[in-house]
Order: sequence, then structure tokens, then C-alpha cells
Amino acid sequence: MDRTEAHESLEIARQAMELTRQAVARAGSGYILIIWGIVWLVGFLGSQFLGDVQGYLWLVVDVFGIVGTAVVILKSSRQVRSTHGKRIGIFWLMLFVYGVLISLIAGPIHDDRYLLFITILVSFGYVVMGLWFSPPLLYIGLGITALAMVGWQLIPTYLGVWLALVGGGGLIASGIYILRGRM
Amino acid sequence: MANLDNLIHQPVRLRIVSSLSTLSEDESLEFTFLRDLHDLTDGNLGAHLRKLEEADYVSLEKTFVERKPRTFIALTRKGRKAFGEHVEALEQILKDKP
Repeated sequence: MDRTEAHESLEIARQAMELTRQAVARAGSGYILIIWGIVWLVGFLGSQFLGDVQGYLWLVVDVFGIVGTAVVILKSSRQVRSTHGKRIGIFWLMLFVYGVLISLIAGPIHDDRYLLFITILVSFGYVVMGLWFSPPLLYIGLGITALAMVGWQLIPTYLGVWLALVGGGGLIASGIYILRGRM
Repeated sequence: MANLDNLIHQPVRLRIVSSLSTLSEDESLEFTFLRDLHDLTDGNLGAHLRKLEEADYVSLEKTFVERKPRTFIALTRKGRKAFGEHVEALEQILKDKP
């Protein structure tokens, strides 16, 4: 085999791998990140501007997130099968339970610290997902945590808007990035 | 030095194996997903998969999803090793021959 043929073969393999990564991403994680990005964006903006009504808004957007995720997982499981799915689901459930326990034990957390607590807890989830499956999720988790802390220190008055932008916006941008096959 | 694998070298099989190599060991792709991804016919994909399965490079699992029969295809450990060596051999050719 000569150089040209070897180069062509490697190019065929590279293109097939890129095509598959894009198609698999389209089938799952990209859409899930976008869905939860919308949840964060709307939820945190509500926390900033809606006062006492924010609890209802969070309920509505969370239901949207859970139903949307279930639909995406159901659709993608017809195309790509993985035993990771169950473990991932259990992990997020455990994270939620531990989050509730921590907030009960640590005492009532109010206002901006509560928003920050949720953000950091979920970001930790992305860090773990990144360590398990996909390094980009690790960087997304660490990046959102760092930016959330910066916002808390520098602009506490507008923390809701800040978290909506860096958390929600970050997840939406990451989802679009994955769908375009960059990760 | 790694050797070229004649079974994987065939362009369609190279695309199939390359696609499957992007998944982790316990993941698999559905037959129609792989067929549409590479714009193949059922018969064409089926024939190539049979050859890869005979060499123990891929494993096929037939199951039912929502009452419809589905076939999920995964790269075996042997197939992953063979693909890695094939790519290594191709890269070696590029390095060696001016």
C-alpha cells in the first residue's frame, strides 16, 4: 500500500468517526444539555425577578426538564444502547437526595446562597459525569462553578441573572457545541 | 510493528468499524442507525456485518424495543484491538514512505 492509499483510508476512518460522534450526540446528550440550560436560564431569571412566585416557576421548568430528558433518552435508546443510562439516572437521584440532606443538616439556606448551592451541586454532577464519560462535561462543571463563585463575590445583587447566563447559557452553548460535533 | 488488517481495510467495513470504535465497550449501535449513517442498504450492511462477526470483530444482539425487532451492533475487544493496529499500520506507512 502506498502513502496516498494509506492517507485515504485514514481519512475514511476519521470521517466515519466524526460522523458517528455527531449523530450520537444529536441522539442524546446535546439535547439534554440544551433542555437543562433552558431550565436554568428561565428558573434563575425567575429567582431574580419574581420573588415569592419563583417556587412555582421552578416547579414548572423542572417538570419540563424531566419530561424533556425522558423523551430524549427514550428516542436515543432506540439508536444507541448503553448500560451507562441506569447508573447515570441513579447518580443524579442520589445527588438530589444528598443535596436535600445537606440543606436540611446545614440549616435553612436563603436567597443568593441557596441559588449558589443549587448551582454548585449540579455543577459537581457535571464534574462527575465528565470524569466518568466525557472530559468536556468536566470542564463545563468546573467552569460554571468558578464563574458562579465570581458572580457571588462581585455582583451578589444580580446573582440570579448571572447564574442564568453562565449556568443556563453555558449549558445551552455546550449543547449546541456538542450537536455540531465539536466535542 | 502493527500489520494491516485485510478484513477491516475494505472501505465500507472500515467505516463500520470506525463508527463502532467511537463507542465505549458496553455501548452498541442499532442496525438502521448504522445503515442510515453510512447510506447503506440492509443487504449491504448485513453482508459486511456477517464477515466482521465471523472474525469475532463485532457482536450482534437481536432484541425487541417497543415490540419491534432491533439488532444492536458492538465492537468486540478483538475488533477494537484489530482496528487500533490497522490504524497504527496506516500511520506507520505515512511516516515511513516519503
